[in-house]
Amino acid sequence: MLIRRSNLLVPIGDADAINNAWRHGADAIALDLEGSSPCAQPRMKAAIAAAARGAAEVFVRIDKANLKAGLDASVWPGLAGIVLPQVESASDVADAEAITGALERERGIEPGSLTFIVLLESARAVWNIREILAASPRISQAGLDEPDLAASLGIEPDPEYDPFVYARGRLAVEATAAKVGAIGMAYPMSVLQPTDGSPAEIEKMATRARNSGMKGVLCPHPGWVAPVNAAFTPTPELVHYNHRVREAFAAGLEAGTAAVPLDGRMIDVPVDEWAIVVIATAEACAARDAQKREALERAG
Amino acid sequence: MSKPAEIDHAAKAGADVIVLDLVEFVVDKDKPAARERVRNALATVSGAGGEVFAQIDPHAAGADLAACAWPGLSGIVVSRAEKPQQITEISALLGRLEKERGLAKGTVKIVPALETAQGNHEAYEIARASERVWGVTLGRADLVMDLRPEPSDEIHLMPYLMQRLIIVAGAAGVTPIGAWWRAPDRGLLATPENTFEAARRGRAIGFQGTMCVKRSQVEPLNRAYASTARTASHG
Amino acid sequence: MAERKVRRSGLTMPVVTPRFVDNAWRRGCDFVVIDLEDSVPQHLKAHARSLVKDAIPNVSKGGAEAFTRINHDHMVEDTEAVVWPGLKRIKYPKTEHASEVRQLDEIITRLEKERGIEPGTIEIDASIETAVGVANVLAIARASPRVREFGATTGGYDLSRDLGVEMFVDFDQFVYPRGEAELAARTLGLGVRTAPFVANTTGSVSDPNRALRQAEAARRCGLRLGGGGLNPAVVDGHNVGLTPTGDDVHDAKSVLEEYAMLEGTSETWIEIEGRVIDRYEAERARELLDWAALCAARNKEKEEAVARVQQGTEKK
Repeated sequence: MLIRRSNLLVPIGDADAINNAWRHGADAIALDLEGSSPCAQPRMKAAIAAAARGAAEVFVRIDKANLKAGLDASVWPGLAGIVLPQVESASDVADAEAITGALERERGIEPGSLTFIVLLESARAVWNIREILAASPRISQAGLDEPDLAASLGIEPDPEYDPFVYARGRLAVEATAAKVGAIGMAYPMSVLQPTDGSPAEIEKMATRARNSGMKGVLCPHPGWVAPVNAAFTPTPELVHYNHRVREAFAAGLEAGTAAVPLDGRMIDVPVDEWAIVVIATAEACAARDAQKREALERAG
Repeated sequence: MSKPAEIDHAAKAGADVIVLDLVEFVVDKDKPAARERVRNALATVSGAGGEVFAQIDPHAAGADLAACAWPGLSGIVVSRAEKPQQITEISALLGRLEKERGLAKGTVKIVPALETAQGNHEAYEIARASERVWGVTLGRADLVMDLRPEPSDEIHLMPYLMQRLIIVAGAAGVTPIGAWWRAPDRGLLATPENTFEAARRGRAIGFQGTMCVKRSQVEPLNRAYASTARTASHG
Repeated sequence: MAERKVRRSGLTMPVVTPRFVDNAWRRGCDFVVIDLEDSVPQHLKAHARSLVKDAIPNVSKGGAEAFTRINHDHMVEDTEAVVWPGLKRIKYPKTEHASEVRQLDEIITRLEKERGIEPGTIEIDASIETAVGVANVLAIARASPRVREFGATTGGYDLSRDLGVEMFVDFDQFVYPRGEAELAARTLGLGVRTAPFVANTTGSVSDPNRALRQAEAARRCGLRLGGGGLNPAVVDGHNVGLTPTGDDVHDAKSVLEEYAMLEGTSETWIEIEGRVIDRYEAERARELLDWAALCAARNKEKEEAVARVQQGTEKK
């Protein structure tokens, strides 16, 4: 089970941010090259190593206009994958795939091990999502870049009216169908991306995102990481309830029925299956958090 | 087009586009007479400065287009468009008429009104069917498909259809035209205030201008879509 | 569209629980779903299959249509066990591909012939309960003429599990899946099975008031078919909520009278007391009157069936 709840974006030009990114507890860190020219290879290597100190998976967000140069600067051992922005078609993915594959071979990285996170930023991308997600087995997550999607459609976001119910629903369904994790924040935080949202508010919106089918969030600020991790980790109460579901269902089976009432709800096969998932997710999150904690302790 | 007096009023309503209608507001027996009036109406209305469109029935495309394709016509709205082939056929007919009647080649635009499930199903193919397609709209889909209000006051299925249309339009490179109506508004009876709200909501989800049926609705629409500035009024 | 069926209310009953099956005919349902799937424990599946043939007349003796829900992974053996005279529809859960529906159609076609059932009469309810199913709605819905009603589950347990979302939240999580399925159904001219979003934050499956509210909301936005339920407490609410009221019927009649005034004129609409009367409103009114008549006939049919059973019992 892939646990990548929070993925913290850090601008490559901000040396302080790069050096401190590992302290925030993010499951992943994405060094952001978008809008800047790729930096020298030694500096990228150092940045990747710095970001990895807290056991985060390290990604680089490439600038689409500098795809080849960006990948060339970034694909080194230790890199978990690439965030591909502005993907509009299968051929965009194929281009990145070809270059990444060649670099893996050249640089002694296990072939196919680097993973892609694709970002959809136009109506064309949303419409073509199926062919995009089918274009490479490397794609592990996919999300909408809602501020850019809004801009491309000429939308000035109004917090009251979510323009992306269809687009986000399509993402959740097509990603699930393709066994890819959908990522994203709930509206309007997905578009406004305030730096001053309270942790409670961020957690609430991230929980809503999870209940819309999202599996994680690309975090534009370090302040998002802890509440996002919390939102995507099943709470102890939820885990407790789901253990009760499993017990009630097992007792029902003993008694010859697979439809059992519990607290006014009805427990049957899919409910029990979901309980198994919730409990397993909680365990996987705990294991991931332990890894990060140990790494933090080692790093001091 | 069966009400000559309304044409004169429409010209003065301040809309960016005026749509001369041969489908929704003309009963069958009046159609031949209405068609005959279009040429003069075009002259009257286009003199007022706005663009003029005509709404036609794809099942009477030959007669309707022959009546409408005269100098002054900017485009046509294809009522209940359902198939890309309809659009390619209409486009070819327009090409012939442009040539015969001295209109500049390729200038008459097409706006398919996707008012049925079939039309929405093939929205992308319809929007891509001809270079002439400039925009798409749901027209009166709520009425044609008999979609009524839910407890939330949203019209059943319309939030989905609107957002889908906006993505389709963006993908196909055409303009999504519409407004986000809610109960108890309905085109013909919506007050100026409700019309403004419907347009403001519509704009917030990506519509870029809309069509309306009453002159009193033009001003609020223009106000709501101020920066994108595309409204159309039926005459 | 083919003959319209009145299917406002239904109950899904585990075929292995005799007290549910034996009492199902008393519940006033338009249909009863004899379940071989999620309510039946794995170790009882074979036993469950042996019970269906007798359960069909048992659950339908009060006038309900008998449906069954088979297991996605046991299509062949389940279908063999359920295609008997009296069965009206097979619910195939977690449909993901058109090929599954075609395969099921072939098996039913063979069994109808072998078992003296009129060809083509048993319907397929291709349930959309996974993301892959949603992605393939149109192909699935047109894979067989036996698919006559179609939609996506609202707040379904399976779709929630597949998308990885908690159920019973206070916002509508399924706008897209429901929209995709409904657009497919309408495109193909099938009966639309969906419901407007009404939050259910408690997760209750037995709240009669909620059932009534939900069904009324569905009726008011023009929907006719119910999705059924799991608890007898919801049946009345579904029946009542989806049946036009006396006021609805009265209103429809006046709309038609008002619309008749436009006949022969050049007007396409008229405003009466703040309401537009036009061909769309007239069409709605005609549909409503048809539907009200069908509901009344269906209610009578069920009452008569129940009366026959009761008389039979008294004679004994």
